Amino acid sequence: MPVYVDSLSRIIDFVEQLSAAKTDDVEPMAHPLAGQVQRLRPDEVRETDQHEKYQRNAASVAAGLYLVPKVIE
Amino acid sequence: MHTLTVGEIAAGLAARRFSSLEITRHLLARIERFAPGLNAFVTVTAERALADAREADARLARGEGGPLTGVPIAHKDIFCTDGILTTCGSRMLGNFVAPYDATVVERWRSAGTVLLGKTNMDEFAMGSSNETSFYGPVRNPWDPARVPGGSSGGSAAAVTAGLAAAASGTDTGGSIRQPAALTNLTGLKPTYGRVSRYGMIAFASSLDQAGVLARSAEDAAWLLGAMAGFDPRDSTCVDSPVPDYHRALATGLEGLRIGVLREFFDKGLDPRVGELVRAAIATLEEQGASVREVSLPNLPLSVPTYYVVAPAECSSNLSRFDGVRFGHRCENPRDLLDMYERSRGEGFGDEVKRRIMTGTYVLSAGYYDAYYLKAQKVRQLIAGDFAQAFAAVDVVIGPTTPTAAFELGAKTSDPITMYLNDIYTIGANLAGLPAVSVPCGFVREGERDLPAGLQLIGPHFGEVRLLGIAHQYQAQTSWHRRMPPGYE
Repeated sequence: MPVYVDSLSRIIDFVEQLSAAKTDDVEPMAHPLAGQVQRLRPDEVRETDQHEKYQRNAASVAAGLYLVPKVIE
Repeated sequence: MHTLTVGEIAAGLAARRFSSLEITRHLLARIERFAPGLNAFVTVTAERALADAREADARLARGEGGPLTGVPIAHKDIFCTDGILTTCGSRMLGNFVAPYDATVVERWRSAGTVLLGKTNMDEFAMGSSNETSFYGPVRNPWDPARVPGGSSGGSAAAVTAGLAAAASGTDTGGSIRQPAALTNLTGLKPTYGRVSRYGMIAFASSLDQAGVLARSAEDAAWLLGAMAGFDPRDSTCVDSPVPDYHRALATGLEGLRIGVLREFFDKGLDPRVGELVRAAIATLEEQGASVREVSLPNLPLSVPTYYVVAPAECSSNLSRFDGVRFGHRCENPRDLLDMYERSRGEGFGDEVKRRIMTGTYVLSAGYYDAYYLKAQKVRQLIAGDFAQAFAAVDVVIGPTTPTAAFELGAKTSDPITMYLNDIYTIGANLAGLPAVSVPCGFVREGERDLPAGLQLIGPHFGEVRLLGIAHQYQAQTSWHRRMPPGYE
């Protein structure tokens, strides 16, 4: 952890210089292209079931389910 | 055959001077010889390459196919490739066999390209030197003691060394243009939304864009044309027609208005690189362009803005790596929390963790307004500066990087020093603009010549103009045809 303490502090100090910028009345920019809207698509089934293929990448699977350590006692 | 451009390969295949199988075998042999020393590839897909080449030759024999059919390429290991290991340079995905093709992979494949392999990269594309890869640093073919740049460093090294005709890359803060500049390639970052991000492992979703590293602007035009276009599977992909990038290359520079970016010729710029860039600008002027200086006053804030926005987005994107559905899972977790902590702790490297922590911090309650919201506002100011400049000029110009390639290890101890290497490239990402790095000469370091890059930034969807200018410049210069010694 100590390897991060110093560098994280320096990164935060570095980005601190943004506070000097005058941004009153400036709209925050969340997306680089103005006027883009989220598209809608017809609510219809398009995907086929490929869970066996996808689950080949999982560390632990049984009966088509992903296994994790016990959560509820 | 390994020094040929994509256009020359297409001509050679069409004239039956060689087959795709022959050039593919030639490049695979070179990969075997040179790739281990450069560490340019994470995975070489030799069998797949030979099968692709045979298929391409059959298509060409039937009189089918296009300009990319039979051309051997490599993909940055950030693009999902169906049935092929896709690591993103991370231990986290060290065992991840992608179950589908990214749109970029699918499109280049249907254009008939031959897949040679997956190239090394900074872990999750976070880095400017290729030293954060779990699979080890990539070396620059121009000087093995130096970095090839990053994060698309493996793609850059592979193309420069003549191991692939061209390669894909991604650019979130300069990750195509900076390695292109440091290895003497033409590197194009298209407009945000021009190319689908589907199947491209996400780093910072409002900045990430796929593009190409190639030997010439003409090659970049062929490759972009085959890669760009609307894709309903990426919600930010723009639904507008793809122009014929190749046809537009012949347009001359008469009447072109170029703005020289005052803020890019700052005290951090190696004067030798500055001189090469100014000489290149003079060449464009001789070809008919008019040149004036432009100022983007908020641009010096682009690096701190980026290092709030990009980590914030990455901390959210990388939360999907939890050891459950894919990716690294620790041995014998005690409970769920232990599994998350150790899987992520073991799976991610130092730089990735640093950015996740920075991002989590700037998004946390009490700090969100001061950092994240503030950065989004400054981002708006920077985008506004560019918009204002493009009211007066067609493109802006400057160096791609402050210096030529630096030595391995030179900037690893101080993240800020490394971050500042992207000072000239980040602005285009924040504003979503297309930009291209073009070889513009060499600086001498000891016994070695190291390449330098000229950067052109255009308005949204200005790729046609950028590639046209780059092509006209390359018609007058031969820097882009130089190969590193030992790889000719």
